[in-house]
Amino acid sequence: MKPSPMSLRAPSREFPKGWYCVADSKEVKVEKLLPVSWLGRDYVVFRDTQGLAKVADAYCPHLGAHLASHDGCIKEGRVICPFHHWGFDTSTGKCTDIPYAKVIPPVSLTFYEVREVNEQIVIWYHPEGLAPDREPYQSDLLKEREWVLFDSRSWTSSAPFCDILENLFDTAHILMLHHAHETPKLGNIEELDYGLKVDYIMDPDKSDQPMKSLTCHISGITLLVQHYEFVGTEALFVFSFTPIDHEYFVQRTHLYLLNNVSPEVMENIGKEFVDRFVMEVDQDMEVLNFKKHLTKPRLCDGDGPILRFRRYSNQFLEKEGV
Amino acid sequence: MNTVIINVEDRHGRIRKVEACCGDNMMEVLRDQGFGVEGTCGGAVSCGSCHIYVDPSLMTQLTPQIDDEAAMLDAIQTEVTVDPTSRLSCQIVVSDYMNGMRIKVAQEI
Repeated sequence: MKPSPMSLRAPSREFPKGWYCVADSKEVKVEKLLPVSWLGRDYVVFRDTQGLAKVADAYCPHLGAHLASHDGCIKEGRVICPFHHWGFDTSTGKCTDIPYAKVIPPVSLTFYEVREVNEQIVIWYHPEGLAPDREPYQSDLLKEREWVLFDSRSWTSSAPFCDILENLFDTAHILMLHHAHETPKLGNIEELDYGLKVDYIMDPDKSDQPMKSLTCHISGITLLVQHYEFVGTEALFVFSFTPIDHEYFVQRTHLYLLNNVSPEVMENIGKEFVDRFVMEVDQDMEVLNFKKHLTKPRLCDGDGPILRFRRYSNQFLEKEGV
Repeated sequence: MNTVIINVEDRHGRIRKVEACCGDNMMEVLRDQGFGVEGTCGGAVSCGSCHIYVDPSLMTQLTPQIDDEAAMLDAIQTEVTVDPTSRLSCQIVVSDYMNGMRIKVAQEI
């Protein structure tokens, strides 16, 4: 079965406003242009001479060459367009050099608002081009403690974009689709400056329960950090969800394990965790990739706080298109 | 549409009366009337080829410079004389009040 076009499965909308991951930090090197395509646009991602991440429109403002085509490159702190060798300062984006012209015009690369959080490079998108109205969640734990990046995964999905994080609040599908033994219990759901903080309630009487706590930090509806505390160790799951266009988005997931156990123990914990996670995402995608976003779903008791999440997520969405 | 007469001094000091329609782009008028104004960038404020000096008495009536025009005038100073009456003609729309106005086409960059 092929997924039906999104026009048949979700209201026609602009991409939601928010911070979108365009690259992993480790992919982006000083003096190297990384071409990427997200949100129906083409970008180049690079670092300036200070190492600060920059994201620019991929096309040279002079005559539209893709800056990373042919031998487009970064040389001595300047992005050099392959077409006419116009040079743009990597820090300011300003054109500083045209080998054949007497006068350097006031022309700049189009830079996007960028942050580097949780080992990801994220840019701000607003359908009307407005400035950021919030900052993305930054995990202090990831910065301050020693972690091992145990596993990274990526899925391309044709699910309606605004439904992917809703899945966290659809607790009943954990029992039915994923065949879990019990429903995870959502505790406190708190709206904070970056988005939502969600605590799960663990049963302290269950001695065989390896998980002590789980907290989710959702930035807008585009980024997610999950912090797990197990008996003896901890894990951070860093997620990003970025549309390629209106039909597909990419979910990236990085699993970090606290570097406080032996490699063998870490391998065991990590492998079990990743195997279960990958199985569940694969199961989710088999349904989500084909689903429709129902604006008036017929929910029953036991369905979880799906509408609570929608009341939150609506603030990031444009009104339904005409 | 209203027309106005503008007295244009060319790069050799000769003055010619030019008829222009209100709403026309001044750079295009000068380009099409053979004053040697290239208009290479087509009004994108990046070539400086349509630089003119305008009648000082009319300076305040013209649309104010946008940031890019000011930056471009600043940039061409290394090549040509830029003074307070300097404007890029691609940023000027011909209007009624310009009837009888005198402008001078600046030297080529």
